[in-house]
Amino acid sequence: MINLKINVNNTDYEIEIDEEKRLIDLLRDELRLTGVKEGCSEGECGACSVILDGKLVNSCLIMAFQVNDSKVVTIEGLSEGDNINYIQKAFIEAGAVQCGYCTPGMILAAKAILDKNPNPSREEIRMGISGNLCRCTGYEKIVEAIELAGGYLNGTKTYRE
Amino acid sequence: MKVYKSNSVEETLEILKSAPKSKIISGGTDLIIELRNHNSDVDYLVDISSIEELKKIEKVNDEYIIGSAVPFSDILNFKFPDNLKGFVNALNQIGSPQIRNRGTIGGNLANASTSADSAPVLLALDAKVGISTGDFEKEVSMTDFYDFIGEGLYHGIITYIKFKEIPLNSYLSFEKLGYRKSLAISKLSISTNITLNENFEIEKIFVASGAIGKYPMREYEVESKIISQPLNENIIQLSIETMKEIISERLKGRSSLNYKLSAIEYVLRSCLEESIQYFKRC
Repeated sequence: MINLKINVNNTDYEIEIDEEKRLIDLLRDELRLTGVKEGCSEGECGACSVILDGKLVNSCLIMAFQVNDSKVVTIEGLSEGDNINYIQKAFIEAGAVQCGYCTPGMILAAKAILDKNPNPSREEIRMGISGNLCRCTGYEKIVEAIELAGGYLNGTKTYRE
Repeated sequence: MKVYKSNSVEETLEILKSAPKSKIISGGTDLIIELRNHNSDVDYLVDISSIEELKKIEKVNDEYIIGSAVPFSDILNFKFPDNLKGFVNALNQIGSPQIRNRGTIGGNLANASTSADSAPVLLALDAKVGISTGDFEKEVSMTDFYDFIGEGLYHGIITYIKFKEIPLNSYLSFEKLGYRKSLAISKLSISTNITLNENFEIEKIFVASGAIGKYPMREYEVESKIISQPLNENIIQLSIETMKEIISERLKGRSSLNYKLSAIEYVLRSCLEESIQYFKRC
């Protein structure tokens, strides 16, 4: 077992964890952040995506011991209390959620895109979500949702209450 | 399994020497899959992703020097000139945004995959690879790299990759064919680095391939056939015919032969036509 210091969703943790565990195991099994989904376990589907030190990564392809002293954001870290954030609102508004399995990873991919550029082109959006598979929506509504979220962010669109 | 986050190259090499079944991890995008599939017999995992000297990317005089633990996305944030577009294209097509944020250029070479997308461009750039073991430090040319490391680099680490800038009358291109746009493992890739003289003739040429041999490799036969020739449609045809002969011989009896014979036509033509477009703009 090894000791690990990690900040997840703005909370500091000191955790003892098995050397062979991955970041996804740490998040789901130790911290019970089950919004992080395990799909392919090979970095193909992006369902396990989280933001590690500001970068979108597959949590299934990182060993837990590698993230000592790092900062992680999962889907649970986006909402403030009962209030979901602007990307989550846009996904609901655009009808970009169907079965929901890809949604946490997809929303974090959207955050990574919009953190870089609040007004991305459709091509940039498609590139930005190219590591996230969705088998329900056909991607079009997801692209629309990220465009809408960009609109919320840069003030050209307002929430429908 | 023991794990350790190393702080220096020296410390890493000491561990590699003392623990025979140790393995280096940085991005981990290939290794973790191997470990989970029990394809790797490892009892000590040494993480080099925090070693500062392996995370630098810089241009020193006319040379780009990239630390082995630099993730692809950090390399892509570096400003490369237009005539190195092939290098940027190759790196941009690796995996997905998530993979490019973790996967490193050193790791792409160290596991000696024939499909490694950075390898053909590095071969075409005549890049050099810095290797350290407990016993020696060596700079190996990409052309000799795969013979040097064999099936994989054990008991040593890649410390840097470096290559020289290319003059304005040179152009590097890269094209690959995979089953889909993102996360595609190369089924065939080609990189060309062409220098033209003032008569539009090929003064210098490097052609390198991926996924049509045991390792990515230079295609000397094509190079020798088209050197000193004018870069035009006839030369594109000659290059394609020569590569088809090479592939027919190299992949004899393989089920992928016919597919790759068709694919080479598109892939090599794309590289050469893109080069012509660049030279016309100059």
